Amino acid sequence: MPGCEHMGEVGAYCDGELSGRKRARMAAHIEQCPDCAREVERLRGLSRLLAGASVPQMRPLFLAQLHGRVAPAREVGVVRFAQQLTAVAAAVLVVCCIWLWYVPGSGGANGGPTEGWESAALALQVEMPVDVSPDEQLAEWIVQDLSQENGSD
Amino acid sequence: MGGPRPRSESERESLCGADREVVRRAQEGDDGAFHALVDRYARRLFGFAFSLVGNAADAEDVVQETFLGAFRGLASFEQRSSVETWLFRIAVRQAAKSRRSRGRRRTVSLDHLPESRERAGWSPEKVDTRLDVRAVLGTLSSEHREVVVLREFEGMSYAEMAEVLDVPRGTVESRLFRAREKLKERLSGYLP
Repeated sequence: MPGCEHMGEVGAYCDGELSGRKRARMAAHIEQCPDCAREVERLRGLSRLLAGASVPQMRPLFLAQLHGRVAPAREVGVVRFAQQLTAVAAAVLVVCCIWLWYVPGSGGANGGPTEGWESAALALQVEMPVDVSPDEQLAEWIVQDLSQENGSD
Repeated sequence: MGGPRPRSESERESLCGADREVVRRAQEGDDGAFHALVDRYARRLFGFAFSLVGNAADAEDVVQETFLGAFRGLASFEQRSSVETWLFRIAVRQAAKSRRSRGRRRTVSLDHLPESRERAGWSPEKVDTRLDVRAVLGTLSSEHREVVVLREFEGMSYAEMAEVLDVPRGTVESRLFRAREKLKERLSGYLP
């Protein structure tokens, strides 16, 4: 380091970091020492130069985003709970749709709404007696026929 | 420049007390209090982070991570140091992390200086000077840049800088001395 041995303290002096007595001694020294006086000028010039080096303004939108991102955990928790609830509701809905689609008689498996005739046909099928044998049915028809003949008499 | 730091002692003491109150309320679960802290410090931290990482995108990441880190550490913050020191300390670490992960970017774009262009009395020479100063600042090592930014832009005392950087006061003094020597040498054309 060229020049005066006190030059290393000039920075602390300019920064106001010297205690009262040291500061007074340094101030007196600077008045006598051209090297230190020049150093004071250079350091002050450097501070001015740095102070003039502007930093870009923060985007206003970023501040809004920041508030959203660093929202306290409680808010985050509520949002997360709502998201989970939505996911569960969506899953239930999907399961119900699949069930409605595949369960027979639910009206969805073969596609499209059930026609009126189809309902009637299905209803007729259900009402038909299934445990009557052809012989019994034939006997029943004969009995009915004979009854009608007797009646008409 | 981001929100300027109050220079007078009484102004700083009053802000410090207000910060402590805000943090206490945030610790008690007042959601709005933490947002108030974000409003109060975001701009300053952005300016600080920009000076350390050299570009706006990384600076925004640093600010965001700083507040997220502060929120995570809110419960354990015992207010032994000032809120300002605490936040800057987190920001220094986040900036170092950002530099490590993304590599140093030293480009300074004119698009990042809208304030300079709009200002009355704007001249290319002034912008050149600002760009030169920024560029030279970017050539310093991260340790040297940190002390210069904390001292010259944030106006912190050596004791506060020591606390933010977690180093002894003597280390702050020697780093600042060396950093200034380099800046004087590289910016000699602008100095008396």
